[in-house]
Amino acid sequence: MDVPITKPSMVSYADDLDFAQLLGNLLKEKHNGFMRITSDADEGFIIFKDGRQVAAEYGRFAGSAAIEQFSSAMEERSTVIEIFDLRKSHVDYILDVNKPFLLEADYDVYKIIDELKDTGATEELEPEPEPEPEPEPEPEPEPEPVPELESVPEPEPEPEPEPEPEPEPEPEPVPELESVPEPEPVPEPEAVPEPESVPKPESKPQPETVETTTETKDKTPISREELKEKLGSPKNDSASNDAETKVQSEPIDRSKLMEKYGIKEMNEDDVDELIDSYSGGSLNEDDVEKIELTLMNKIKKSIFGIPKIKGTEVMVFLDSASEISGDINIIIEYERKGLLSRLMGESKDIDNLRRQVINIVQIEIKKSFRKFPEIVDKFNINVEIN
Amino acid sequence: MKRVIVVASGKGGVGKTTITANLGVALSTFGEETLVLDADVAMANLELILGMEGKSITLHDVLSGDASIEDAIYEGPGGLKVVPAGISLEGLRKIKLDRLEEALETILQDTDILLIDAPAGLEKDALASIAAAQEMILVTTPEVPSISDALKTKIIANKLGVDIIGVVINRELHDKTFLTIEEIETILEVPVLAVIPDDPEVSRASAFGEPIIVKNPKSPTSNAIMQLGADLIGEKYQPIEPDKKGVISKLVEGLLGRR
Repeated sequence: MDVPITKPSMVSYADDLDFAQLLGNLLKEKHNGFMRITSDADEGFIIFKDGRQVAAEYGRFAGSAAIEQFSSAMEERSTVIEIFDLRKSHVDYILDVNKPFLLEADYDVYKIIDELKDTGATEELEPEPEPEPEPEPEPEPEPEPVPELESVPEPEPEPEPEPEPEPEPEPEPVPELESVPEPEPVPEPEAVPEPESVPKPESKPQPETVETTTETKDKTPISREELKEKLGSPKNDSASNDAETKVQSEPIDRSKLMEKYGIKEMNEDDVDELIDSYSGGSLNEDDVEKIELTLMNKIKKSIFGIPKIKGTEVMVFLDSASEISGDINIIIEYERKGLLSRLMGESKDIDNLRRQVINIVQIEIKKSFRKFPEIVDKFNINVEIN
Repeated sequence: MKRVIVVASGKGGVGKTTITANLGVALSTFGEETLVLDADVAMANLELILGMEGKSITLHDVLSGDASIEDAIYEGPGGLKVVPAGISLEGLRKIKLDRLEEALETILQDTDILLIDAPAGLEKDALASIAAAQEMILVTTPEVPSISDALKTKIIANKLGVDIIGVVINRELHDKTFLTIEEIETILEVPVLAVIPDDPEVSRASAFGEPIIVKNPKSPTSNAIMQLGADLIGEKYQPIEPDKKGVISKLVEGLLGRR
């Protein structure tokens, strides 16, 4: 995405930040500008216009696909978020330049982003209340596997939303702040097979059981599922390893891809022109004969334009063995003048006529080989005047 | 069946000549009578890569009538035959009509596969070398400019009636900043024949005037090119596993007295 990187108005690590609140603030402020999200080697941008997200890119993903990628980035401790301010007019210009990354107008992407916001926010906020209500020591062992799992999704771009919290609603994963947000994306397919299949219903029963933490956790998987449905990603919960490749395996729209990378097709005219320019160097014998004939007729016609020419014979011999060259022999029958004028300087007239004929021939050659005017130097022109 | 395959890229510096030279050696290794014609006159470094620079008789001499084609064919590594071009290919297509036609016929008599290393760009030389072939292998790096030029080359080749076998992605870095294999395939609309990793060993081999296939046959690059060659002729290839122990681990083992 082409955006002007200047001095950011805000810089923060993802885990030091309430992402939902940040987005809420940007919306309230009707922020115009963009957010840069850097996670390891990946970089993503969300452009905001009047506080709304209007375009997004993350790695090689654009638009709504990029939005999906942000979720995993937000879970990384090392993710850096920077906010850059721009003027509204500037945003319009940037949007114009970055059309391939625009989010669909109709969309639900806003909703999805909101869900993602919620996810991140709640996750971050969760840990604080959790420890208080649950004094049980037992849950501790459970969180242990969580960090392990955390490490797994990190490399994966799209952790899949599986409602793992359901089976363990009460034993809330108390521990640290970081560990809490991660469990939500953590895929535990085998552990809870039932919920996987029907994510939405799961979320409903859960709220009954426990407090806010579980509720938020329930929401998370739902929103992720919805997100995937909305984005039309065909992924299965189990196969989360190749998230990227899966996204890629979705049928890629060639025209969009070319637009994204600014690659243009050659138009027919350009192709023909190129090949024409080349075919000048690929004459076959028929071509040579045709050129000889055409050139001969053209020269003859032009020579007849000279006054007092009674007749002319033009012979063109092309040689295309290595480069195009040729011999042009012209015999002209010139109207005789009276004795006096002949005595006065007929030879001068003949010289002038010869020069005139040579000029005409050269002009015709140049006209015939318009793109290679220098070819004229490769022709021997012999003029015989009778 | 005799095959005339041009290796073209559009953009220069994508490693086309290296791939042509190594592919030639690979095909020779598989027992195919292979001849590589260096058509990249402006950047005639095929001979350098094969360690055969400074040959006195070239195709140009043959076409000028000063030498016979047999005199311009040199023996390269792995039994590969090489004909240095030594002439602007602007004339090559014309030559096909007279002396070149004869020369190519002579070349093809004892050759199964003629590989033409096309010049970069779409100038006459490049077009002539494309037009002289029946089939084409595109070479590109996973970068936008390279792919854009490869696309143009492909379009021109299609127009000239050349059958495009596929594209070889060279210097793959597995870096997200570059296009993916799927994206390249989608844009070029041709199958990816091989993905050659970015390998500094290739430059080192060139510096020694030795194709990497010969210098380091266990390298991933060599294996990828050998596989490409095998695929081209429908052979099977079993990649050569590299030594698993690195230099450092060997050194450490040596220091610790382990053998």
